[in-house]
Amino acid sequence: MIEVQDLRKNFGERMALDGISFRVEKGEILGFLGPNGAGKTTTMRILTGFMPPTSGKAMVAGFDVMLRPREVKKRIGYLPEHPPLYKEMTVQSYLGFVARIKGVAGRQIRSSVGSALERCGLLEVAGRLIQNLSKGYQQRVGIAQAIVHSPEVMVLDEPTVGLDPRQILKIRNLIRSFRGEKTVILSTHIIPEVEKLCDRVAIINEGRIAALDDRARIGSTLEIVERVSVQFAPLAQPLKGRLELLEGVRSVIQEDGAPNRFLVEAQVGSEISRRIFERAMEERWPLAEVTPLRPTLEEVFLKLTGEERGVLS
Amino acid sequence: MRSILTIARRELSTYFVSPLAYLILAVFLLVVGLSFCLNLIAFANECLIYGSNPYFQQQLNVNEQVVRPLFGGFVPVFLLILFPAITMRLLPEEKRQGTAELILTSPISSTQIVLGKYLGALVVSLVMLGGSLAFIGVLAKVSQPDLRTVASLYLGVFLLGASFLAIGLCLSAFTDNQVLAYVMSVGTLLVLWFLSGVSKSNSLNQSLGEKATGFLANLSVIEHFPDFTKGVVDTQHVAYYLSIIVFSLFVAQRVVDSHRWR
Repeated sequence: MIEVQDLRKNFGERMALDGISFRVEKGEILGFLGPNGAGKTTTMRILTGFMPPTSGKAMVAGFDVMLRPREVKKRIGYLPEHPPLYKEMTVQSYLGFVARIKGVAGRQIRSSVGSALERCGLLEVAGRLIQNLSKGYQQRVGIAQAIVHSPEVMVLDEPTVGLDPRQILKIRNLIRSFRGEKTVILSTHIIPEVEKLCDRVAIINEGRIAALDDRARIGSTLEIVERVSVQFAPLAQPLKGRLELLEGVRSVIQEDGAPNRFLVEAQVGSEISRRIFERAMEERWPLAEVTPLRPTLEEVFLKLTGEERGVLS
Repeated sequence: MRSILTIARRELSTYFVSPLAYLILAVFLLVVGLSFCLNLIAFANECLIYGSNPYFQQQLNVNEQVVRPLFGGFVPVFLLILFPAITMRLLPEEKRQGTAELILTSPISSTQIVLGKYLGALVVSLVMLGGSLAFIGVLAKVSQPDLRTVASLYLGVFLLGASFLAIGLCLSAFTDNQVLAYVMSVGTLLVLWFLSGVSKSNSLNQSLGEKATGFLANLSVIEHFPDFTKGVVDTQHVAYYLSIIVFSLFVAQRVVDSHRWR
């Protein structure tokens, strides 16, 4: 549904996008995760035809964004970082206006606006001026404006920023309801949001995609260390030292409040779980449990976007 | 066309939910009405005093003394001050409140955006001029103004105002600051206005040559107006105002379009 190849964008001297490529299949929700200024908004603005790329290609619903912008724009619903609201209008008349400029046929405008209002829970405020609504409602009007013309693709730039937890929950439920029906790209710098909403995650940093995979797998494919939690049956022998002697082990930490549970970190590729098993068989350790630990998304994110990387590069 | 009307309609509704349009309308009608009233009373007095004298009677002319001053004299100055206030928010406001992102990611062209906005402003000016028709109505009750002069006067003032709006819209495309847009528009209109003085200056005529000064004076927005108040519709003047409008809107369209390709 969306295909991006080697997208680059320069603002004068500054390189905002440095060769971004990805695909999003129909019905999928892709999350852009990245620090501020990483290039999330720029990518979205290029996809929606707000600005052109310096080079590269972007296809939405089979149309090239550069060559057939009108066809693309008809099929995309876009919520920019600041919802584009005419605050002196009522919710209803605003959505009617958006439906018209998005090319909804005259007799369908009423029903399009009606279903957008209903879906976004705006029916009770339909006749009120947008400027008098709370930020949460304004954000929902922003989402309603992005779906009023029933687009196949939705691009949402930080849809929950600045909302209170209850409002965030409602917006997330709304976005979740698009799964399978619409193709969604959303950007955020809130990690739990990606974990709760997205099928796939792209971590963007300094204009590049640092990682792109399924939500569940993004940790394992990017393992920085192998980590295992080891639980022994209660015993007096000091096994911590024995664990440290295993090949590839970097550190062994006794977990707080659990004298027989250790957190082992080892080099990638050292197959530490297997080694622990083998040694335990040989030396008859009273092993109770060995659990490989996947790095959390947060760790991956910090690793890929953090200072370490800056120091290295 | 539908998109143009959609944009224009939204502009109009914005004008008329804010006090700005009403304020401009009220100020315009108040000042024009006041001057109309004074002219009419003065004319009536002259009629009373000189009406019986056949020699003076020929000098009394309602078109000359009441209709022409309605939009002659200070009214163009007035438009120069008021109209940039109508256009100053058209494009800067979209950028300021972020709705430019909505408009520019919608399947409509820059031409449609610019024309829609222009149409919206034009309708406000038409409402203004339309309101002043009441004065003509009053006049027609008590006298017989020449309707052809009235028509030509209104055409002239409409074209003048339409040019001011086009120039204002064009300059508002360059900035996202309303105050800046207003000052730029008034400044540009003043310069265009005072070009008319160029051909009257002897020293300039000598140094630049009369052809050059004549050309510059012909660029002046006000040079082409007085004929309309006399009831003369000269295609040269109509063409001048139309070209100002087309040129300004063209530039505005290019500037709006360039936002997409930066």
